[in-house]
Amino acid sequence: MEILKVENLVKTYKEGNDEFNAVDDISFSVEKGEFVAVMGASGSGKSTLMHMIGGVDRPTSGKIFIDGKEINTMDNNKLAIFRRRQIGIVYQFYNLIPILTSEENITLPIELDGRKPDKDKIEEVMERLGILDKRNSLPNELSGGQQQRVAIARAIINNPTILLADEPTGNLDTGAADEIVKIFKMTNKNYKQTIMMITHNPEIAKEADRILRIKDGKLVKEA
Amino acid sequence: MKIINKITVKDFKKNKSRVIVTIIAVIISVSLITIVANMVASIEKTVNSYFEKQYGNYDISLIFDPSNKNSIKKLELNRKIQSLYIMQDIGLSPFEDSKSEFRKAIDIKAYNEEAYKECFDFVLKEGRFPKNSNEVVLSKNFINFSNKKYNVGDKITLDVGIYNIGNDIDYIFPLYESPFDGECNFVKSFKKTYTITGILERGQSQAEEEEREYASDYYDRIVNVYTYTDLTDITETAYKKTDVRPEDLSESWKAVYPQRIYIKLSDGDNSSLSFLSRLTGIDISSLNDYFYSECYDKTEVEQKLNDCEFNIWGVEINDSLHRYSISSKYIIFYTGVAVIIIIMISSILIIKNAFSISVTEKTVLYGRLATMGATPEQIRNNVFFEGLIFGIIGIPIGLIIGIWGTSFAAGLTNSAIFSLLDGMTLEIEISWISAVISLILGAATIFLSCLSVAVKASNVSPIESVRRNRDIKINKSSKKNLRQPLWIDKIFGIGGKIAWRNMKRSRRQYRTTVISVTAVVAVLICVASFINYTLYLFNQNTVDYKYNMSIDPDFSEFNDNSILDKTEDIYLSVSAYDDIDNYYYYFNSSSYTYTIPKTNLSKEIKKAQWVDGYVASDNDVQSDMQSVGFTDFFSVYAYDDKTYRELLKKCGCRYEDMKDKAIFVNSINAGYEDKNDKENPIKEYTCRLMDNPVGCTVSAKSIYEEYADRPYEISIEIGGEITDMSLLYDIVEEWDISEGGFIVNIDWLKENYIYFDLNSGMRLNSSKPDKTEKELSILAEYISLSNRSNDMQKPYSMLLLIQFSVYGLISAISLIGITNIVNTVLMNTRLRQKEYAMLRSVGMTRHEFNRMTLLECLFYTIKSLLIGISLGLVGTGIIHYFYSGTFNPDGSENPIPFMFPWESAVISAAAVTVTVLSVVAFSVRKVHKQNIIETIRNDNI
Repeated sequence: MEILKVENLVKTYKEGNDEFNAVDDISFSVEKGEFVAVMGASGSGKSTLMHMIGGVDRPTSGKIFIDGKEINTMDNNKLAIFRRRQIGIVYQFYNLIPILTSEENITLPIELDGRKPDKDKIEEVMERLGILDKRNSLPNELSGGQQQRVAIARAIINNPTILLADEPTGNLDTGAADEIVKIFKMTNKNYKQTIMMITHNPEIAKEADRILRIKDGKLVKEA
Repeated sequence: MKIINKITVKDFKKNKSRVIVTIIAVIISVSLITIVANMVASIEKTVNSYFEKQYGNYDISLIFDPSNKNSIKKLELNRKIQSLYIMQDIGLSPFEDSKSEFRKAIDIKAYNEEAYKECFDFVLKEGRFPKNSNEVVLSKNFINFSNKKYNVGDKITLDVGIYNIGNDIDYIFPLYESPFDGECNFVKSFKKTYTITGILERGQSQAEEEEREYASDYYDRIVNVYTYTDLTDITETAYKKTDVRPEDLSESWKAVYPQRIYIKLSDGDNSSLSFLSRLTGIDISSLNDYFYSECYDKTEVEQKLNDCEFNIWGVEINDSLHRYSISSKYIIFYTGVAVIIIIMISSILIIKNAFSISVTEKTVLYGRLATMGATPEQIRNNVFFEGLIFGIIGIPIGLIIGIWGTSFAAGLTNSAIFSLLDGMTLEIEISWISAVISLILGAATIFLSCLSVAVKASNVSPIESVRRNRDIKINKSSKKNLRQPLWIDKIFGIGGKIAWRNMKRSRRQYRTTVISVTAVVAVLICVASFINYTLYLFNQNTVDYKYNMSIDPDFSEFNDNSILDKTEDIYLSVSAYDDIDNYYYYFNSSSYTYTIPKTNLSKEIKKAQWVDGYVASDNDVQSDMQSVGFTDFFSVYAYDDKTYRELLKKCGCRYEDMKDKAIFVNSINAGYEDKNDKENPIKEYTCRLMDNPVGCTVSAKSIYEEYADRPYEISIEIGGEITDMSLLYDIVEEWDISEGGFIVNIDWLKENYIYFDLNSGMRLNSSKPDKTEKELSILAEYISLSNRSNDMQKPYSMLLLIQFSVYGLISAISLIGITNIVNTVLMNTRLRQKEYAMLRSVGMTRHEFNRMTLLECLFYTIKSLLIGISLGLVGTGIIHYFYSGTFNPDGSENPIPFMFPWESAVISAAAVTVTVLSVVAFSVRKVHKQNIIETIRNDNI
């Protein structure tokens, strides 16, 4: 079942009188439960692609369907709600709220939705990710790996349709990076979580079911 | 609590200084609004009280048959009437124990309880008001003029009756005659013993005040005593004992018939005419003409008033109270509204800046929340939530401080108002309505402050937090602007270069500081201009008495020239008092006329169509001047010797040469209509009356022919002239000399029997006017003394009040503004921590760093000052335009000059510059203490 479909996606930036396409007419789809890696050189447009799929940025043209819903036509309000319910995003620099504890960071999407967090579920997720003992810690009291795990927990707490990760291991040492990749793998395998991950690391990319290569804004080869 | 709001609360704990500063701004704003609201209510209440005491707290007064008890009962039951006050003349009694030969009778009047307490300006010195018709309170003038001492609790027995003249039984004391001399008889009606329950400090009804203007002969001869009456039982009066029926009274006596009812309507001033119309059955239009039309024949309405069921003999509407209280109310209310609007606008600008800083700081946070799925509405509401917290904390504290501040402000201004309102003090009114208004306006201020900021926050794109490049966007066009002028490089080096470029590219960051500085400077300049123009107008329009005391005799009862000598003796004795610094006195008579032959008239006067003081004949002035000449009153002025000599000096005349001669004041105001000038046809000018008057002999004839012992014709030679009135005004006050008058030696006046229609006055300056007033309190009965020092103080007290209020407001606004400047500068520094850390990491020295920040600070401060001063200039121009249009619309005579408050501009510019530099210096010191790498790293968390 197609969970993500991208049709003729274009993102254009203007520099004075010049224009350039950061994403240049990309089309592809992702099946449910697939683990897709996205690779490309710096400035190739992979992050731009990821941001548009995550509803964080708007395409210049083209369509994006997530679970059958076209997200590029949604207004900001609807998109925000969709994002917190259906999409999980993990960033390279964690993007945690510095004044919330780990647990509060994790329950943030739920509370934004006006719902009460399920304590048991939160504990289960935190335990799965090995951060239960850090539930009351602030982000600056955690190591990079721990912060990233908190970010992952936040991303998956709502059982999103798709989990997007933008170089989640880019800021971590090898050991921590391996752990994160394992978590992704585990989530994908055990929970059939659809994952799309940007990475520079070919070793990490090998863990994915499929690799999308982006070069100069265009999809080059699927592997 | 919602998660976003929880984040806000936690953020507050992290940024205590910003939160405290913002709350302080809210508190100041709300407290200022509260103070203004309460002061408006207080001043309105005080002014209303003042005018009610001045003019009586009633809307309508009626005079009607006192025996008509049904009328009174009907009035009592009338729902439109809030209060009824009754006054009744009881009668007169001979004042046996009088100290003064002039104070011959006791006037006994009765009022009901409400009249004493609510309607008129009765103030007790001791004791209480009378509660029945056997009790009295004594007036101050009774105590002053009584040889016998009376205390509260004593009894006083009086023969109560009326005075009449000849055999006529006049129901009413005569108004225009001298009632107590020779021809008057006292007719006793009854004897009554009263218990004295109180002594008045002050007490007079409006009726007495009005009668006093017309009947000073009477009121200067009596003392007052007040007893009690009520509406259920008409108190025994002397007047009831006579056989005169009301319909026999002549018109002029009706005005002072013994029973008067004062009505206070529940609807107030607007409904007086409609109430009267319903009461009497007379239509409103007729009543309106009766009261306000000068040409209207009042007989018909008066007949209808008599014929109506209330049988009204006289009616009066208290227009003075209505006019002054309405106009004062509007002035006070709209001034208060204007001040509150200024406070709100200033507060909104400043509190908005505080919210902008908060949002700017939290841009990354809002972006992250947006990536998590926070909707724009949720983020917007979060800003409102911040405002709510500030309101919940700041508004109640502001209200409390405002209430305390009202008492403080009222206490400070009371000394200024005290003298202004003749002994009144500000009645503080702190009502729940003011508190509610302050609360609502305070909440509105906060809401309006965060409205646009909330919208801005909700528009923060999630990608901004991801990319983290929100503040620096450099495209091709802005790249050009980044180049600094060569002189910056040469004079200030690398520090100046970076400072200049920072200022150019980061306009948004500096906007809040620039706005704060600009707003403070512009507001200060505009307010200083307002004070300058108000001061200027005050000085232009305030009567500037040269002398702080004045003695004015009334010669109307005297008809022989001994009064001149007697009065001069009094003047001379007064001049010998210790505290008198300087003085002059004069005598003036205008009981003769003279004619200037046409051949002696000046060219300028001949073209006049009207002339001040022209003694009209059957023809117009032009015809007279062409045929015969110009006839004027022969107005002679004689001064004390010293003053006379000074006047002679002004004219260049020698005292020895002027014994039987006069100085002619050869200046007159005249005018004509120029039909060729369509725009301004009326031409008014001042000119000489005569050509070459010196050496001419003026012959004058008396205006009274029937008195054989007065010279019918007199003449005098003109020995000198003066054409410039301002030379005379240097010596005497302008109302003590007239144009076209003759200044003569006082001996000449006496020798020529010019004492008929005599006027006189003495003007003196006392170094201790209040003391001198006490010493001179009993000069002679025909002489009155006025202490002008209080009147002279009044306008300056008003000025002091305005200045105090306005400077108080400036200080508060400046406080808010400077608070905001401190806030924005500190926040800007904090937001650029990473940038500063990076500069230091690449090798910028402490000295270079300090210079860079100082230059940045100077660049944007100078920019702000230039804008602020320019706006202040525009504001001054608007104020000048407003004042010129209102107070000098023709642009003629004395145009109001343009006045820019340079001193205030310089002071405000210096104050904000020092503030900004101090805050920057403080925050730069903090930056130097920070660890470079931790600062860079911390930005990632």
